[in-house]
Amino acid sequence: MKCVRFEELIFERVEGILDTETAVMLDAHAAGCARCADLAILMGDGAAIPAEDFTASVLALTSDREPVERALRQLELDLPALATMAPDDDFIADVMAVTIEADRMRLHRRLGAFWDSLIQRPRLALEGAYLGAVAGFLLVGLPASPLAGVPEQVIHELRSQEIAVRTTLASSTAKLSQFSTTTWERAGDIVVLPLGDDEPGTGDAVRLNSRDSEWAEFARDTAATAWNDYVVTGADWLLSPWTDRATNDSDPNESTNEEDKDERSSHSA
Amino acid sequence: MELEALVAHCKTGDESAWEALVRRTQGRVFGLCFHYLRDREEAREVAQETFIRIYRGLDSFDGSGSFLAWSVRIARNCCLDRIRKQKITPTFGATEVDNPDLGREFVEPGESFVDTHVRHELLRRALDSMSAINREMILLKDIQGLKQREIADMLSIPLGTVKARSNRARAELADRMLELDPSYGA
Repeated sequence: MKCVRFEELIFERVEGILDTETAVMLDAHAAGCARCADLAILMGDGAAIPAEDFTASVLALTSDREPVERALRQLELDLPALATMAPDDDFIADVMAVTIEADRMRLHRRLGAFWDSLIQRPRLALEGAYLGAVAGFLLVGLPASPLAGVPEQVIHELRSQEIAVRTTLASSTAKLSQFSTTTWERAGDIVVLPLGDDEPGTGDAVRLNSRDSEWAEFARDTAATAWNDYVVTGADWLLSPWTDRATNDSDPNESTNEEDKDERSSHSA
Repeated sequence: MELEALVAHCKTGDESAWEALVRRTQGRVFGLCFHYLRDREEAREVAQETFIRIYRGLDSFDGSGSFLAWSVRIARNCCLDRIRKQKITPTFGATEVDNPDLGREFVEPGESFVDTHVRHELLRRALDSMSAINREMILLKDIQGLKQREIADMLSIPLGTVKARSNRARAELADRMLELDPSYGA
C-alpha cells in the first residue's frame, strides 16, 4: 500500500466505515511507515498503530508536543492574515479597463462583425438592385409618383444643351487621354531608371545587366504603344459619335462667321 | 452588501456593483496569485486575468456554491496556466518581504507592527520550504478559508484525502516554523 492510498483510507478508518481486510492492510503499512503512523495519530486513529508500539509512539510524539501545539494555535491566528494582499493603487482602474471597457469594445466589434456579415452577403447586391428598382419605379414610374416628371425634364434639359454637353465630353476625353499617356510614360521611366548601368547610385548588387535594362525599356515602350493604340484609340472611337458631331456643329459656325466677314467686307467695299 | 448580492447586481450589468466586487475581492485574489507565483508583477498580471475570467463567467456562476470558492478556483487555474506557460519555478523574492507596509493591517493588539511583520515573513519562508502539495493545502484551507468539500471538488480528490493532507500540512508547517523560530507561539 502506498502512502497516498493510506491517506485516503485513514479517514474512513477513523469514521469506522473501513472493512476489516483493508484495516489490516492499513495497520501493516503504518507499522513500516513512520510518516503514516504519525498521520494516524494526528487523525486520532490509535488503532492504526500496532498495539505494542502505540504507547511508546504516543509518548515519543507527545513528550515534546507542547511547542507544536502552541505553534498550531498560533498558525490558526496567523494564516488567515496572509489571505489578502493589497495590489497597487492602479489595479482597480486597470481591471475596470480590461473588463467594462473591453466589454464595450467587444460589443462594438460584435456590432461591426454583424454589420460586415450583413453587408458582405452575396445576395446583398441582388437584393439592393431589386430594392433600388422597386424604389425607382415607385418614385418615378407611376402617374402619382412624387418624381414622376423629373426624368422627362432632365432629358429635355440635356437635349436643349446638346452642343454644350458634346463639347464638354470632347474636352474631357482629350484631357483624359493626355493625362493617361503622361502617367504611363512617367511610370515607365520610374521602372527603367533604377535599372540603368550608368545610373549614379545603383550598386552592383542591384544593378541589372544591359540585357535586362533593354528588356525593361522594350516592355515600357510596348506597354505605352498598347495603351495608345488600344485604350486611348478605343476611348476615342467610343466617344467619336459625340466628339465628331461637336466638331461638325462648331465648324459651320466658323465658316458662317467667315462668310459674314466676307459679306461685310464686300459691302463695305 | 454580501458578495452574492453584489454578484447578482453584476449580472444585471451594474458597473458600480462590479467595481465594488473587484474592490472587495482584489486583495484576496492578488494574495492568492502571489502565493502561487511569488512574484508581485506576475501576480498582478494573473490577478487581472482572473478578474477578466470572473467577469466573463459571471453568467455561468449559478450561486450553488460560494463565490469565494468559485473565484479561488479561477485564480488557481490562472496561476497554474501561467506556471505551465512560462515553466517558472516560483520562489519568494525580496520584493514582497521587504515591503515595509506589508501586513500592517494585521497587527495584533498588544504587539508591534515589526513583530507581526517578522512573523509573517517567517511564515512565508516556512511555507516556501514546504512540499508543494502541503503548501497548497495550507493555502486553500487555512489561508483562503475554503471548506474541505470545496477543496476536494477543486482538486478532484476524496474528502478524506483533504482532511488527512490538511492535518499533515499543518503539522509540517508547525515544524518548519519551530525550526525557524523555536519560540513561535510562545
